[in-house]
Amino acid sequence: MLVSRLLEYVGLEPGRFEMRWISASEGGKVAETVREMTERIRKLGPNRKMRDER
Amino acid sequence: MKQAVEELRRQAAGLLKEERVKCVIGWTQGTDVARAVPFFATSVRQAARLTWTPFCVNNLSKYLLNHRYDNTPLAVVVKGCDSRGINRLVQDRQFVRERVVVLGLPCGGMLDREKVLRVVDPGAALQEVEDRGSEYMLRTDKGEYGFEKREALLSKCLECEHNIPVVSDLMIGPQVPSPAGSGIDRFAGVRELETRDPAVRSTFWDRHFARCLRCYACRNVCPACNCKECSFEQAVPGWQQGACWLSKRNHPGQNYLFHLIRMFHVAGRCIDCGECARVCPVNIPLRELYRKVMKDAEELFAMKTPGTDPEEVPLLSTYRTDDPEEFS
Amino acid sequence: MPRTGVFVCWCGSNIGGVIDCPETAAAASGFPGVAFSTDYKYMCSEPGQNMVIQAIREHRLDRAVVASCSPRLHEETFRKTLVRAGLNPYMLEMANIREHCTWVHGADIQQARIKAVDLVRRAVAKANRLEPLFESEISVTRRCLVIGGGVAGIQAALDVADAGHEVILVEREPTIGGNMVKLDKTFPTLDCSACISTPKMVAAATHPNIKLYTYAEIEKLAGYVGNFEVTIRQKARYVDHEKCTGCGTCWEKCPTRVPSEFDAGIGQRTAIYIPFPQAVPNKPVIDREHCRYFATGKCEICAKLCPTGAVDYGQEDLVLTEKVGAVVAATGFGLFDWSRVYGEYGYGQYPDVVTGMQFERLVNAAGPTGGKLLRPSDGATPRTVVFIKCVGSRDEAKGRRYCSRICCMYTAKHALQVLEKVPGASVFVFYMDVRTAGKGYEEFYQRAVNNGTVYVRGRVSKIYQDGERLVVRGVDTLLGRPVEVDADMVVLATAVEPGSGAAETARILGINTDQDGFFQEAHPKLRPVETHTRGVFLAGACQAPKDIPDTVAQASGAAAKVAGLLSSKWLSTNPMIATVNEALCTGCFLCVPVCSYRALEPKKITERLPGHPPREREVAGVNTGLCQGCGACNVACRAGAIEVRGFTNEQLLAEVDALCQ
Ligand SMILES: Cc1cc2nc3c(=O)[nH]c(=O)nc-3n(C[C@H](O)[C@H](O)[C@H](O)COP(=O)(O)OP(=O)(O)OC[C@H]3O[C@@H](n4cnc5c(N)ncnc54)[C@H](O)[C@@H]3O)c2cc1C
Ligand code: SF4
Ligand code: SF4
Repeated sequence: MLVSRLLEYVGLEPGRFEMRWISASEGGKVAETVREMTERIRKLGPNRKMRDER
Repeated sequence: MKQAVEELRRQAAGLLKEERVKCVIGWTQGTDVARAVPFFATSVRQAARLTWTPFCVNNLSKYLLNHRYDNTPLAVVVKGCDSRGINRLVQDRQFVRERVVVLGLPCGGMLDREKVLRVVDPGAALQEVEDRGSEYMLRTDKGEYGFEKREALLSKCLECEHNIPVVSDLMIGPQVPSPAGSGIDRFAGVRELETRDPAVRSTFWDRHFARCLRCYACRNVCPACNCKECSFEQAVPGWQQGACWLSKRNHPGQNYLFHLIRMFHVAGRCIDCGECARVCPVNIPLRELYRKVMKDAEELFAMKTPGTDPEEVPLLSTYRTDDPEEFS
Repeated sequence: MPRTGVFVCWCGSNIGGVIDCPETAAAASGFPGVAFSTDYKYMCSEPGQNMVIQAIREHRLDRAVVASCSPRLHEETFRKTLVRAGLNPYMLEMANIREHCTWVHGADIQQARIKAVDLVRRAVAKANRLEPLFESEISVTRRCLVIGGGVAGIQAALDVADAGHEVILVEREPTIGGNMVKLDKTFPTLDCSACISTPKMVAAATHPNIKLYTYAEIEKLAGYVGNFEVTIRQKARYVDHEKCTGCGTCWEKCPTRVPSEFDAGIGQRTAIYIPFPQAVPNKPVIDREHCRYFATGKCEICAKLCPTGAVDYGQEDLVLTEKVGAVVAATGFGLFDWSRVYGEYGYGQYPDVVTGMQFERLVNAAGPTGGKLLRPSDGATPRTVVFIKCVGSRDEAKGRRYCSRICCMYTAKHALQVLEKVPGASVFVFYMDVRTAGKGYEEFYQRAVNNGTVYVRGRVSKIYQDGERLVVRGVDTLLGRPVEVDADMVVLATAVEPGSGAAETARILGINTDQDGFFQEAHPKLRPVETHTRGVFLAGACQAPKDIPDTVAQASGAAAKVAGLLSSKWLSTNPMIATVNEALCTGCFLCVPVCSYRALEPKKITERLPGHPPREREVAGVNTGLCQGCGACNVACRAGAIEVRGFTNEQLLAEVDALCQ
């Protein structure tokens, strides 16, 4: 909760960060969450903020 | 404040004379009228140079770390906000509480040096300071100056939470009223930023972080930053291209990560002494960053400002079964 | 530069039927560090493994990536292969391209091919950073502690003792036997419970390898697998068992009468007592709370009468320690206190509304009525008996959400017993479902029905006293109409609960409890008698409601695990555990409370730095016997001082980087 709030505070789009509690036996939920998240991120486009430029 | 200065010197001299401590960490008058600098008094003679003025901004608790692994008995002078740093170090087990004599100073607030220097000649010699409750009187060889606290204090002092130290072995000088304005919202700055448009917020921090020099002054002054070797400096052999796991290059993206990681390392542990923002050479409003987490943590988990209570466990290292959660 | 070999397995058509394995292997040959790559139909087969060994030798490979199934399945296999090829077994990394790829993405072959290559790239990136790890050995104390002397504990103790290891059996009541010896007969065979359990009790007490502590409780468990130290509190019995011969004079003459726990409150016992005549040990204890001497300072009848002078009012609790290598928790179950919540059944105010356990005592030949079925209120023979099942079970609002598993069967048993003891009696059973999964169980239930038990599907909404009779009101949901029965006695099948003190025992042992408060097994299917704390095992109803056959089976299972553990003097430890970089550790000990295995503890080191005198300070130390390598501490350490071997920051970040390419 603190993380997502903070990331939004420093200007990240809401929804770019998400934490879910999924037990090892909830395969369906993993797939579902990943699918949702991928869709969402695809809409938001690449993250230009915290690129790692090593 | 004259009385307090005298008592401070007397007590410090006493501690050194009886050899109860090897060193008293305090402040002494600096190079200009509106500056006090850290001072390490190791003899009775040096104790006479200790001072207490509304320019004693440095949080001296950090200096204890220099002695964390030897057995030197020490005394340190703290204001209310700094005293939380003592609890920080004790909780982090960096220092055994018994090894340090904490001299607490009730504080009427610190003056903003810039504002004072606009009026007073820097070369003037400070003779005496009087705390009149709502204003400070500075007596110098070039005349007397009055400063209305509401106008001239540092902003952190107007939001002061503990003007009387939360921990001390010896309280020095008279009790003084808190400089905090009545009805002041401690988190007004954070709240203000929160209401802004995400895009505005984004550019706000972009601009600030882009200016970061990666000088690590904020880290060096922070009592919560007490690792032996900072994770930003740990060389990892065979690591990718860079030697550290976050490159030291001064680049906006990397700077972002630097600040957020540091933020998380002090989350729930930052005592809000405001030293980071003070020492930042490019004036990045770091306090508003750390206080965001503090505010959320207070709202969500009823966290007290870290360092208030010597028994508490850092927020991110504990849990309660009735903690709120947002998982679905 | 590492010389990594990549071995892509087809797993028959499991993988090979979806993606093109030679293509994946070819792609892998271009990854940094890869010196050799190939594919094969069944990598885990004998020829497959030989191929790996040969490739390692021929191409001087120093590490390997096997892209095949889940490491759960074959990581061990391939580690052994590496050893055979002369490499350190931990120089292996697996890419799971079956469960994580072809099985789930069979519908999208194109994507599956890309993903397989990505997964292999990830594994190669990690493999390039692997370091050899070495198992260390810890010594094992070849003794076992069994907590709880019910049938589970007795069985486990006997099995371990027969395997040749010493056993410490700790029971908190004055006698072993647990709940089973209170029962009259046992389903589904209706053999006498005492006849099959008391010989076992005696066998346990007299076994040369079993050291029995009754009326004792464990207070602390320190140490780790192979090397536990348990602190036992032997409660004061006020009777010197060395001198006592168990003659019985004292308990016959004691003037105090209190409800007997053993008889579920329907019989009485004296203040100096043995719970039942066949108790083991067959020597009394004084119940200090009810003893007249302790209350008033006068009486001392037992002391005066005892022919051997064994009574000793001055005895004190004794605290002692024992060293063991393994622990079996067999603390059993408790029963749901229905009288607190079931207002419609009279909150326990009607004496003739009893529980199943009280019924057991009422029909028991050794019980307060000598085995005659007499109702508690007036001692009359009940002619109409109503049984109500699921009292507190499968009812989240009032009790427990789970099924207690044994009530269906013992209610059928009770119904048969009523019919047998009271010819011509009418027996009604109110039920939600009848569950009879077990060998011979359905037949047993049919026997109850055929002998005349009337099963009414539905709930009882009210019981009230009407003169001498109890009126039971309910609905028959199958016929859809209300029913009312005038009963002489009502028996409630109350829910099985975690035993009293289970949470405390779990805390002492450092094991988890499930959401219902029973002890949590390590894996519901594959590791049912182990816990997440290595060296601590489970047996019997403390893990979940169970009948005797299951209890005994699980107890023998736990005993087999213990015997396996104690079979050798040495135990090798998993090297993939946490390690502390002492130079970085600041000694904040934020990691210590995070570890659920209590593997971290402060340790003193002397640090020598150039230009400084040597100095002593405290840092975190990992107990290699306790650490399970979960990595929780890793995250808690802000200084980055703790890492888990085999999952270092460097390795993990390299994997992430490889995946994000
Ligand atoms: C009314 C009723 C009728 C039943 N009828 C049948 C039947 O006909 N057939 C059948 O197969 N099953 C029957 N059962 C089930 C049977 O009783 C259990 O399966 C069996 O008793 C479980 O054995 P256990 O050893 O796991 O637990 P328990 O019998 O409960 O034994 C646990 C022992 O551990 C001790 N203990 C607990 N905590 C501690 C501690 N902290 N320290 C030391 N000691 C401790 C207890 O005092 C007890 O002696 C019936 C159950 C009930 C309630
Ligand atoms: S958290 Fe890290 S620094 Fe703190 S004691 Fe543990 S290993 Fe040391
Ligand atoms: S890896 Fe897990 S088990 Fe091992 S010390 Fe860290 S927290 Fe404890």
